[in-house]
Amino acid sequence: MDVSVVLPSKNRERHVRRAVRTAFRARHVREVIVVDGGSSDNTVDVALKEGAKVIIQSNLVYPGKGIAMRDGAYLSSGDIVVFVDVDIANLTPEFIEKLYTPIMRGEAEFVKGCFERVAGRVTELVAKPLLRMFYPELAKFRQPLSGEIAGLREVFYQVEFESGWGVDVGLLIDLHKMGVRIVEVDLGFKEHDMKPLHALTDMAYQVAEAILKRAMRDGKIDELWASEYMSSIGKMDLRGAGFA
Amino acid sequence: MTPEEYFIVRVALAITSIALTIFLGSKSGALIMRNLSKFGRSFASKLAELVKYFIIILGAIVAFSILSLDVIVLTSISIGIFIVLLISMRDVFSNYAGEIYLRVRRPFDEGDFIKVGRISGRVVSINSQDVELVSVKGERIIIPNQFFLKYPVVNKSSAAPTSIELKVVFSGVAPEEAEKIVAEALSVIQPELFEDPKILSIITRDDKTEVDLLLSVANQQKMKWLIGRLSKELHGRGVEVEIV
Amino acid sequence: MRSVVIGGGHLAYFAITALRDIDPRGRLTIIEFTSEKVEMLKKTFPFADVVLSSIEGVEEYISRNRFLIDVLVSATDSDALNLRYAKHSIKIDLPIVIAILNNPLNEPVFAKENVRYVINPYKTIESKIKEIVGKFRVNVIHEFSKVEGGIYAIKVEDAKTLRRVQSFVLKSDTPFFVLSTDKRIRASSAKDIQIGDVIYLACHDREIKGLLKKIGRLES
Repeated sequence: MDVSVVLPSKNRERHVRRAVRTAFRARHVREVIVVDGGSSDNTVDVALKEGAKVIIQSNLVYPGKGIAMRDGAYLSSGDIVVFVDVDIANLTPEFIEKLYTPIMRGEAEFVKGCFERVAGRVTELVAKPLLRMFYPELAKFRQPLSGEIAGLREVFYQVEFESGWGVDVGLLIDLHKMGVRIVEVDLGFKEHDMKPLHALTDMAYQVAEAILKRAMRDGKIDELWASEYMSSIGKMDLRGAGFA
Repeated sequence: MTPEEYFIVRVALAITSIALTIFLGSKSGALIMRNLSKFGRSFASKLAELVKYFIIILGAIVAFSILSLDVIVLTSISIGIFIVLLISMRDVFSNYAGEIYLRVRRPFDEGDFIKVGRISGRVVSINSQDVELVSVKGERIIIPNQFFLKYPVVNKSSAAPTSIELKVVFSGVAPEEAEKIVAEALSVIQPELFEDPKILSIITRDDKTEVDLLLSVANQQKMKWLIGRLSKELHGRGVEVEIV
Repeated sequence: MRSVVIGGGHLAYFAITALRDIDPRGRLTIIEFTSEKVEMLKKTFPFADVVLSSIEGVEEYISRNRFLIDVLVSATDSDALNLRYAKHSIKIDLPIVIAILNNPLNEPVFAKENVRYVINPYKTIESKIKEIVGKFRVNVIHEFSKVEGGIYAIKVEDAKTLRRVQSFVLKSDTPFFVLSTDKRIRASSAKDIQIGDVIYLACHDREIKGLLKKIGRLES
């Protein structure tokens, strides 16, 4: 089995060289695909020089991570597709190998990476509570929003990718509903740029939207309750919650 | 006239000869550039240079002759050098001849997708010595121009429909009936044709009616299938036919 | 002729209507990935065969029918998929393979992968705005698909440009017409071109680049 590594990125010229080189150093990796979100810096040129395949994501919207992931999956030709954030400062080939190993061993079709990091605020405050409410069988995942994932390519072709920040939790729920075997692997410590608090509102909203949309689809809640809940999320004041 | 004066006159004549041929050479070069640029600027400029220097060399030979230098020896040496160059650089001249062929005959243009032998790719540039292609795998391929003088080239970008003439021979069927049967059979295969089919002629000869058809397809691989289909339609109408 | 359109969104819609217009009696197949869209497409385009396929099934379908397909248009909402299908179609020698871009920034990506016919539906935005506002120097009106050239509009703003343009037209025998300041469309001789006119030239890329260099307007 061979592996395609997909790196969604935008304006990451400082990180992409290292990320592409590291990905190529992992075993079984046949190609590295950088899906660019319309960078205004040299991300594309740097990626091309390092031998990555590059495509610009089909719709330049913000956030477009889900579109980038979808395009990366569609362009890939490996049996396994691994998605990794391009700006992980301590990315190593072992990071990538840990993600695909359970699939290669036949233990799973989809893998979520989890890692030690400074607390994920949207994970703890939004994703986990909602998952516990509507998909308690998924509450065991320590990092349900982790963008470090791997899966059989054919599995990604059977699901829809949310366009924004809800993509990771959306995939988790949809693949679980399809009966795909999912495991979580420990990737160690992730050194990563953290978003400032005010930038998390949209992320929180989209994560909640992805979960509630699926809960409605699966008959777990009714629409009226969901829209009231969503508007209450928008009014939540996270200042003074103890985070930087 | 004293010998010295005679010598001065001869030198003046020699200089005039060279100056005249330089002038004629430049003018000839410019004329060639103006009229042959449409075949490619670099090709035209090289031809212009060749002609210009040929005229200048002729002028130099005339000048040597005026100065009573041993023209025969000089000419023989020049021819000798030229023959040695021709032999040692025959590939270069062959490539140059190839470029003339490509410019005049234009079997393909820059941007076309071509197949020559087992090599296929998109033409990036047509140069004086070679043609540069990029293969579907992104490999850069350089093909010496002389190759195109020896091997057939398939231009896949021309996408011109291929037309084929068929003759349908009916035995013991009147021309009007034959035309009707052919028209009905053609209407079945018409959706697969690139352009409307044409009945070119209907001739009766020795109790046989020959209907000449013109069929046009873009996908040349389809021709065999179409003939088979047409045959089936005609035989299905209970007539004895032969397709030639 | 037999055409196949992959995708059922708005890009595909225009491709389907164009192909139908070109050959109303031809065979047209549309491939889509969801059953809801397939049902919708069947109603919208009753003359077409609409096929439900998986992402990977499309390549199998194209390969199976490679001896019959004349034109393939990949018009899904993913440039990655369009690129993939176009490359596969080229590899199996389909005669005419067209990809329609969702993101115009992918045009060089497709060109690099030898996809010859790529449609950028957003290309006219720039030329139309230039034409409407009128404050352009050079405007690319149309690029030919099968020849490296097109139709270019140049505004004759000054005497130098006028001289160069007249000289170019005379020497190169380029066909042209003029949109004059009094809004008349004229196809006359080079000496009738005046300052303020917009001249529309149909020529090859290499010719227009030469002219633009001379008038100091070498833009993209």
